Amino acid sequence: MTDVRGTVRLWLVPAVAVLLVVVLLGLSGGLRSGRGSQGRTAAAAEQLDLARWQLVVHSVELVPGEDYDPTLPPSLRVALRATFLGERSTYGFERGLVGVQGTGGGPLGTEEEPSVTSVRSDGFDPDVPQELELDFTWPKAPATPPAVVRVLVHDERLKDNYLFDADWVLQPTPVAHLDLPLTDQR
Amino acid sequence: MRSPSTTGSRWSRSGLLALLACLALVVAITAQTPDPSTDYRRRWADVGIGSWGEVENASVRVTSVRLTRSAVQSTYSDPLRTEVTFVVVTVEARVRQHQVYFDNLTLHTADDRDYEPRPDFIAAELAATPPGFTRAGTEVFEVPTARVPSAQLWFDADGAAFDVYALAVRVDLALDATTPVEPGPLQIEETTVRATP
Repeated sequence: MTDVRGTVRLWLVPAVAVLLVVVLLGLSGGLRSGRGSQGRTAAAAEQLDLARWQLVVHSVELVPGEDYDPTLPPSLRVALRATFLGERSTYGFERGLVGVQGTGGGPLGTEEEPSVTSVRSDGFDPDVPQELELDFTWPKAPATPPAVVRVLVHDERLKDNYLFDADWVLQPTPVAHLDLPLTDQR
Repeated sequence: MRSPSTTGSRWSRSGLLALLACLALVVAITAQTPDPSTDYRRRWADVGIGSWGEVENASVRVTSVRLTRSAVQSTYSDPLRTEVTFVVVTVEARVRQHQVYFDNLTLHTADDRDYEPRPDFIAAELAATPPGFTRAGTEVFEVPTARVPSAQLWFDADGAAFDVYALAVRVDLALDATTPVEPGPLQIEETTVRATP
Protein backbone atom coordinates (compact mmCIF):
# COMPACT_ATOMS: atom_id res chain seq x y z
CA MET A 1 0.00 0.00 0.00
CA THR A 2 2.85 2.35 0.92
CA ASP A 3 4.52 1.45 -2.34
CA VAL A 4 1.44 2.40 -4.37
CA ARG A 5 1.15 5.76 -2.62
CA GLY A 6 4.84 6.40 -3.13
CA THR A 7 4.58 5.60 -6.84
CA VAL A 8 1.56 7.89 -7.26
CA ARG A 9 3.39 10.71 -5.50
CA LEU A 10 6.44 10.09 -7.63
CA TRP A 11 4.50 10.64 -10.88
CA LEU A 12 1.74 12.97 -9.70
CA VAL A 13 3.93 15.75 -8.31
CA PRO A 14 6.02 16.23 -11.51
CA ALA A 15 2.85 15.93 -13.64
CA VAL A 16 1.07 18.65 -11.65
CA ALA A 17 4.19 20.82 -11.85
CA VAL A 18 4.38 20.43 -15.64
CA LEU A 19 0.64 21.14 -15.99
CA LEU A 20 1.02 24.28 -13.88
CA VAL A 21 3.87 25.50 -16.09
CA VAL A 22 1.80 24.86 -19.25
CA VAL A 23 -1.20 26.72 -17.78
CA LEU A 24 0.97 29.68 -16.77
CA LEU A 25 2.57 29.68 -20.22
CA GLY A 26 -0.85 29.65 -21.87
CA LEU A 27 -2.20 32.43 -19.64
CA SER A 28 0.81 34.63 -20.43
CA GLY A 29 0.24 34.20 -24.17
CA GLY A 30 3.19 31.92 -24.81
CA LEU A 31 1.15 29.29 -26.64
CA ARG A 32 -0.30 31.65 -29.26
CA SER A 33 1.03 30.97 -32.74
CA GLY A 34 3.84 33.46 -33.23
CA ARG A 35 4.92 35.31 -36.35
CA GLY A 36 8.42 35.93 -35.04
CA SER A 37 10.02 39.27 -34.40
CA GLN A 38 10.00 41.65 -37.33
CA GLY A 39 12.31 44.19 -35.75
CA ARG A 40 11.60 47.76 -34.86
CA THR A 41 9.17 49.91 -36.80
CA ALA A 42 10.87 52.28 -39.22
CA ALA A 43 9.54 54.92 -41.59
CA ALA A 44 10.13 55.72 -45.26
CA ALA A 45 13.21 57.93 -45.82
CA GLU A 46 14.62 56.88 -42.44
CA GLN A 47 18.31 55.96 -42.41
CA LEU A 48 18.82 52.33 -41.37
CA ASP A 49 22.36 51.61 -40.17
CA LEU A 50 23.38 47.97 -40.59
CA ALA A 51 26.69 46.21 -40.04
CA ARG A 52 28.00 46.76 -43.57
CA TRP A 53 25.27 48.80 -45.24
CA GLN A 54 23.27 51.94 -44.77
CA LEU A 55 19.81 51.81 -46.34
CA VAL A 56 17.14 54.42 -46.94
CA VAL A 57 13.91 52.90 -48.28
CA HIS A 58 11.92 55.36 -50.39
CA SER A 59 8.79 53.65 -51.72
CA VAL A 60 7.05 50.51 -52.96
CA GLU A 61 5.26 50.23 -56.32
CA LEU A 62 3.50 47.48 -58.21
CA VAL A 63 4.89 47.66 -61.75
CA PRO A 64 3.89 45.71 -64.86
CA GLY A 65 6.06 43.12 -66.60
CA GLU A 66 8.57 44.27 -69.17
CA ASP A 67 7.37 46.35 -72.11
CA TYR A 68 8.84 43.90 -74.58
CA ASP A 69 6.87 41.00 -73.09
CA PRO A 70 3.49 41.92 -71.52
CA THR A 71 2.94 38.29 -70.53
CA LEU A 72 5.64 38.58 -67.87
CA PRO A 73 4.19 38.87 -64.35
CA PRO A 74 4.23 42.19 -62.50
CA SER A 75 6.73 42.97 -59.78
CA LEU A 76 6.74 44.65 -56.43
CA ARG A 77 9.40 47.33 -56.79
CA VAL A 78 11.18 48.62 -53.68
CA ALA A 79 13.13 51.83 -54.34
CA LEU A 80 15.99 52.49 -51.95
CA ARG A 81 19.34 54.15 -51.50
CA ALA A 82 22.16 51.81 -50.46
CA THR A 83 25.59 52.79 -49.18
CA PHE A 84 28.28 50.17 -48.63
CA LEU A 85 30.24 50.79 -45.42
CA GLY A 86 33.08 48.27 -45.87
CA GLU A 87 36.75 49.06 -46.35
CA ARG A 88 37.13 47.66 -49.88
CA SER A 89 34.86 47.77 -52.94
CA THR A 90 32.47 44.85 -53.13
CA TYR A 91 30.81 43.15 -56.07
CA GLY A 92 27.06 43.51 -55.64
CA PHE A 93 24.16 44.29 -53.35
CA GLU A 94 23.32 41.59 -50.78
CA ARG A 95 19.82 40.79 -52.06
CA GLY A 96 18.69 39.01 -48.89
CA LEU A 97 18.91 42.24 -46.89
CA VAL A 98 15.44 43.32 -48.00
CA GLY A 99 12.21 41.29 -48.17
CA VAL A 100 8.50 42.00 -48.59
CA GLN A 101 5.41 40.72 -46.79
CA GLY A 102 1.79 41.58 -46.17
CA THR A 103 1.21 43.95 -43.29
CA GLY A 104 -0.16 41.10 -41.19
CA GLY A 105 3.17 39.35 -41.53
CA GLY A 106 1.90 36.79 -44.05
CA PRO A 107 3.54 36.02 -47.39
CA LEU A 108 2.39 37.91 -50.49
CA GLY A 109 3.42 35.23 -52.95
CA THR A 110 6.29 37.20 -54.45
CA GLU A 111 9.60 35.58 -55.24
CA GLU A 112 11.96 35.73 -52.27
CA GLU A 113 15.01 37.16 -54.00
CA PRO A 114 14.64 40.32 -56.04
CA SER A 115 16.38 41.35 -59.22
CA VAL A 116 18.45 44.46 -58.64
CA THR A 117 18.47 47.38 -61.04
CA SER A 118 20.74 50.39 -60.91
CA VAL A 119 21.96 52.95 -63.41
CA ARG A 120 25.43 51.64 -62.48
CA SER A 121 27.14 48.40 -63.31
CA ASP A 122 27.56 46.02 -60.41
CA GLY A 123 29.99 47.11 -57.75
CA PHE A 124 29.72 49.16 -54.57
CA ASP A 125 32.46 51.42 -53.31
CA PRO A 126 32.98 52.34 -49.64
CA ASP A 127 30.69 55.20 -48.57
CA VAL A 128 29.45 55.92 -52.10
CA PRO A 129 25.62 55.75 -52.18
CA GLN A 130 23.68 54.23 -55.07
CA GLU A 131 19.99 54.38 -55.91
CA LEU A 132 18.58 50.89 -56.47
CA GLU A 133 15.32 49.26 -57.49
CA LEU A 134 14.64 45.79 -56.13
CA ASP A 135 12.00 43.96 -58.19
CA PHE A 136 10.23 41.05 -56.47
CA THR A 137 8.35 39.15 -59.18
CA TRP A 138 4.70 38.65 -58.17
CA PRO A 139 3.18 35.99 -60.46
CA LYS A 140 -0.27 36.02 -58.82
CA ALA A 141 -0.61 39.68 -58.00
CA PRO A 142 -4.29 40.39 -57.24
CA ALA A 143 -6.33 42.73 -59.40
CA THR A 144 -6.83 44.87 -56.32
CA PRO A 145 -3.53 44.84 -54.44
CA PRO A 146 -3.25 45.63 -50.73
CA ALA A 147 -3.02 49.31 -49.88
CA VAL A 148 0.01 48.75 -47.66
CA VAL A 149 2.87 46.24 -47.76
CA ARG A 150 5.59 45.49 -45.25
CA VAL A 151 9.27 45.82 -46.17
CA LEU A 152 11.57 43.75 -43.96
CA VAL A 153 15.20 44.72 -43.42
CA HIS A 154 17.71 42.10 -42.30
CA ASP A 155 21.24 42.64 -41.02
CA GLU A 156 24.37 40.52 -41.39
CA ARG A 157 26.89 39.25 -38.87
CA LEU A 158 30.48 38.15 -39.25
CA LYS A 159 30.74 34.39 -38.83
CA ASP A 160 34.14 32.91 -38.12
CA ASN A 161 34.71 29.44 -39.57
CA TYR A 162 38.21 29.10 -37.98
CA LEU A 163 39.74 27.74 -41.20
CA PHE A 164 39.44 30.53 -43.74
CA ASP A 165 38.55 34.20 -43.59
CA ALA A 166 35.33 34.95 -41.71
CA ASP A 167 32.15 35.30 -43.82
CA TRP A 168 29.25 37.71 -43.58
CA VAL A 169 25.99 35.82 -43.12
CA LEU A 170 22.43 37.10 -43.11
CA GLN A 171 20.55 37.09 -39.83
CA PRO A 172 17.18 35.34 -40.23
CA THR A 173 15.31 37.76 -37.96
CA PRO A 174 14.68 41.23 -39.41
CA VAL A 175 16.07 44.21 -37.54
CA ALA A 176 13.43 46.61 -38.86
CA HIS A 177 10.19 46.71 -40.83
CA LEU A 178 8.46 49.47 -42.73
CA ASP A 179 4.74 49.49 -43.57
CA LEU A 180 4.59 51.48 -46.80
CA PRO A 181 1.71 52.49 -49.07
CA LEU A 182 1.68 50.46 -52.28
CA THR A 183 1.20 52.44 -55.49
CA ASP A 184 -0.26 50.39 -58.36
CA GLN A 185 1.45 51.50 -61.60
CA ARG A 186 -0.02 48.80 -63.85
CA MET B 1 72.41 -5.95 -19.49
CA ARG B 2 69.10 -4.73 -21.01
CA SER B 3 67.02 -7.08 -23.08
CA PRO B 4 66.52 -6.21 -26.81
CA SER B 5 62.77 -5.66 -26.21
CA THR B 6 63.46 -2.98 -23.52
CA THR B 7 65.85 -1.13 -25.86
CA GLY B 8 63.32 -1.30 -28.72
CA SER B 9 60.54 0.08 -26.51
CA ARG B 10 62.74 3.00 -25.42
CA TRP B 11 63.59 3.78 -29.05
CA SER B 12 59.95 3.70 -30.12
CA ARG B 13 59.01 6.02 -27.23
CA SER B 14 61.77 8.46 -28.21
CA GLY B 15 60.63 8.33 -31.82
CA LEU B 16 57.05 9.08 -30.83
CA LEU B 17 58.17 12.04 -28.70
CA ALA B 18 60.30 13.35 -31.56
CA LEU B 19 57.32 13.04 -33.94
CA LEU B 20 55.07 14.91 -31.50
CA ALA B 21 57.73 17.63 -31.10
CA CYS B 22 57.96 17.99 -34.89
CA LEU B 23 54.18 18.23 -35.20
CA ALA B 24 54.09 20.87 -32.47
CA LEU B 25 56.79 22.81 -34.34
CA VAL B 26 54.80 22.62 -37.58
CA VAL B 27 51.66 23.87 -35.79
CA ALA B 28 53.61 26.74 -34.23
CA ILE B 29 55.17 27.76 -37.57
CA THR B 30 51.77 27.56 -39.30
CA ALA B 31 50.16 29.70 -36.64
CA GLN B 32 52.88 32.37 -36.85
CA THR B 33 53.47 32.45 -40.60
CA PRO B 34 51.19 34.75 -42.62
CA ASP B 35 48.84 33.07 -45.10
CA PRO B 36 50.69 33.49 -48.43
CA SER B 37 47.42 33.63 -50.35
CA THR B 38 46.24 36.78 -48.55
CA ASP B 39 48.88 38.15 -46.19
CA TYR B 40 51.85 37.97 -48.49
CA ARG B 41 54.76 40.32 -48.01
CA ARG B 42 55.47 42.92 -50.61
CA ARG B 43 58.43 44.99 -51.62
CA TRP B 44 56.75 48.31 -52.31
CA ALA B 45 58.24 50.80 -54.75
CA ASP B 46 57.01 54.36 -54.16
CA VAL B 47 57.00 56.44 -57.32
CA GLY B 48 55.46 59.65 -58.61
CA ILE B 49 53.39 60.44 -61.68
CA GLY B 50 55.36 59.71 -64.86
CA SER B 51 57.93 57.41 -63.18
CA TRP B 52 58.10 53.70 -63.94
CA GLY B 53 57.76 51.10 -61.18
CA GLU B 54 58.28 47.35 -61.34
CA VAL B 55 55.70 44.65 -60.63
CA GLU B 56 56.07 40.95 -61.46
CA ASN B 57 56.64 40.72 -65.24
CA ALA B 58 55.78 44.33 -65.99
CA SER B 59 56.81 47.96 -65.67
CA VAL B 60 53.94 50.34 -64.87
CA ARG B 61 53.44 54.08 -64.61
CA VAL B 62 50.73 56.70 -64.22
CA THR B 63 50.70 59.27 -67.00
CA SER B 64 47.92 61.65 -65.83
CA VAL B 65 45.32 62.22 -63.10
CA ARG B 66 42.11 64.25 -63.44
CA LEU B 67 39.08 64.80 -61.23
CA THR B 68 35.54 65.16 -62.53
CA ARG B 69 31.90 64.59 -61.63
CA SER B 70 30.88 63.25 -65.02
CA ALA B 71 32.50 60.80 -67.44
CA VAL B 72 31.46 59.03 -70.62
CA GLN B 73 33.04 56.04 -72.29
CA SER B 74 31.64 56.32 -75.80
CA THR B 75 29.77 58.94 -77.72
CA TYR B 76 26.77 56.58 -77.88
CA SER B 77 26.13 56.28 -74.14
CA ASP B 78 24.92 58.79 -71.58
CA PRO B 79 27.53 60.28 -69.27
CA LEU B 80 27.77 58.74 -65.83
CA ARG B 81 27.44 61.39 -63.13
CA THR B 82 28.39 61.21 -59.48
CA GLU B 83 27.58 63.22 -56.39
CA VAL B 84 31.08 62.43 -55.07
CA THR B 85 34.22 62.52 -57.28
CA PHE B 86 35.53 60.48 -60.18
CA VAL B 87 39.32 60.10 -60.05
CA VAL B 88 40.39 59.41 -63.65
CA VAL B 89 43.88 57.92 -63.90
CA THR B 90 45.60 57.07 -67.18
CA VAL B 91 48.18 54.32 -66.89
CA GLU B 92 50.67 52.48 -69.04
CA ALA B 93 52.21 49.02 -68.65
CA ARG B 94 55.08 47.27 -70.47
CA VAL B 95 54.79 43.52 -70.08
CA ARG B 96 57.89 41.31 -70.12
CA GLN B 97 58.14 37.47 -69.87
CA HIS B 98 54.58 36.38 -69.03
CA GLN B 99 51.05 37.62 -69.61
CA VAL B 100 49.84 40.02 -66.89
CA TYR B 101 46.17 40.57 -65.94
CA PHE B 102 46.35 43.70 -63.74
CA ASP B 103 43.53 42.45 -61.49
CA ASN B 104 44.83 44.04 -58.29
CA LEU B 105 44.82 47.70 -59.10
CA THR B 106 43.16 49.92 -56.48
CA LEU B 107 42.98 53.50 -55.34
CA HIS B 108 44.11 53.53 -51.71
CA THR B 109 43.02 56.43 -49.50
CA ALA B 110 44.77 57.98 -46.50
CA ASP B 111 42.26 56.33 -44.14
CA ASP B 112 42.96 52.84 -45.56
CA ARG B 113 39.98 52.36 -47.87
CA ASP B 114 40.51 50.53 -51.18
CA TYR B 115 38.53 51.51 -54.26
CA GLU B 116 38.43 49.27 -57.31
CA PRO B 117 37.98 50.77 -60.77
CA ARG B 118 34.32 51.36 -61.70
CA PRO B 119 33.14 48.43 -63.86
CA ASP B 120 31.12 50.91 -65.92
CA PHE B 121 34.38 51.77 -67.71
CA ILE B 122 35.74 48.24 -68.06
CA ALA B 123 36.58 48.69 -71.75
CA ALA B 124 39.05 51.42 -70.79
CA GLU B 125 40.91 49.54 -68.05
CA LEU B 126 44.25 47.77 -68.19
CA ALA B 127 43.47 44.22 -69.30
CA ALA B 128 45.31 40.96 -69.96
CA THR B 129 48.44 41.84 -71.90
CA PRO B 130 50.85 39.34 -73.49
CA PRO B 131 54.62 39.65 -73.13
CA GLY B 132 56.35 42.09 -75.45
CA PHE B 133 53.40 44.48 -75.57
CA THR B 134 52.67 47.84 -73.99
CA ARG B 135 49.10 48.62 -72.91
CA ALA B 136 47.62 52.01 -72.16
CA GLY B 137 44.40 52.29 -70.17
CA THR B 138 42.24 54.54 -68.04
CA GLU B 139 41.02 53.64 -64.56
CA VAL B 140 38.00 55.51 -63.17
CA PHE B 141 37.46 55.44 -59.40
CA GLU B 142 34.41 56.82 -57.61
CA VAL B 143 35.52 58.21 -54.26
CA PRO B 144 33.97 60.42 -51.57
CA THR B 145 35.40 63.89 -52.12
CA ALA B 146 36.89 64.11 -48.61
CA ARG B 147 38.98 60.99 -49.30
CA VAL B 148 40.55 62.24 -52.55
CA PRO B 149 43.51 64.18 -51.02
CA SER B 150 46.65 62.03 -50.60
CA ALA B 151 45.12 59.07 -52.44
CA GLN B 152 47.55 56.63 -54.05
CA LEU B 153 47.24 54.19 -56.93
CA TRP B 154 48.38 50.72 -55.88
CA PHE B 155 49.55 48.15 -58.43
CA ASP B 156 49.40 45.26 -55.99
CA ALA B 157 50.84 41.78 -56.50
CA ASP B 158 48.65 38.83 -57.53
CA GLY B 159 50.15 36.63 -54.83
CA ALA B 160 53.43 35.40 -53.43
CA ALA B 161 55.18 32.52 -51.71
CA PHE B 162 56.11 32.69 -48.03
CA ASP B 163 59.83 32.94 -48.76
CA VAL B 164 59.86 35.82 -51.27
CA TYR B 165 58.69 39.40 -51.37
CA ALA B 166 56.17 40.26 -54.09
CA LEU B 167 56.86 43.34 -56.17
CA ALA B 168 54.22 46.07 -55.88
CA VAL B 169 54.04 49.75 -56.76
CA ARG B 170 52.48 52.73 -54.97
CA VAL B 171 51.97 55.90 -56.99
CA ASP B 172 51.41 59.19 -55.20
CA LEU B 173 48.70 60.85 -57.30
CA ALA B 174 49.64 64.34 -55.97
CA LEU B 175 46.03 65.13 -55.07
CA ASP B 176 45.03 67.68 -52.46
CA ALA B 177 42.00 69.75 -51.55
CA THR B 178 42.91 72.38 -54.15
CA THR B 179 43.10 69.97 -57.12
CA PRO B 180 40.51 71.30 -59.58
CA VAL B 181 37.43 69.23 -60.39
CA GLU B 182 36.55 69.47 -64.08
CA PRO B 183 32.85 69.83 -64.91
CA GLY B 184 33.03 67.11 -67.55
CA PRO B 185 31.85 64.93 -69.00
CA LEU B 186 35.35 63.60 -69.56
CA GLN B 187 35.68 61.33 -72.57
CA ILE B 188 37.17 57.98 -71.44
CA GLU B 189 39.09 56.28 -74.25
CA GLU B 190 39.15 52.52 -74.69
CA THR B 191 42.33 50.67 -73.75
CA THR B 192 44.95 50.26 -76.47
CA VAL B 193 47.83 47.82 -76.93
CA ARG B 194 50.93 47.98 -79.12
CA ALA B 195 54.19 46.10 -79.49
CA THR B 196 56.84 47.44 -77.14
CA PRO B 197 59.56 49.11 -79.25
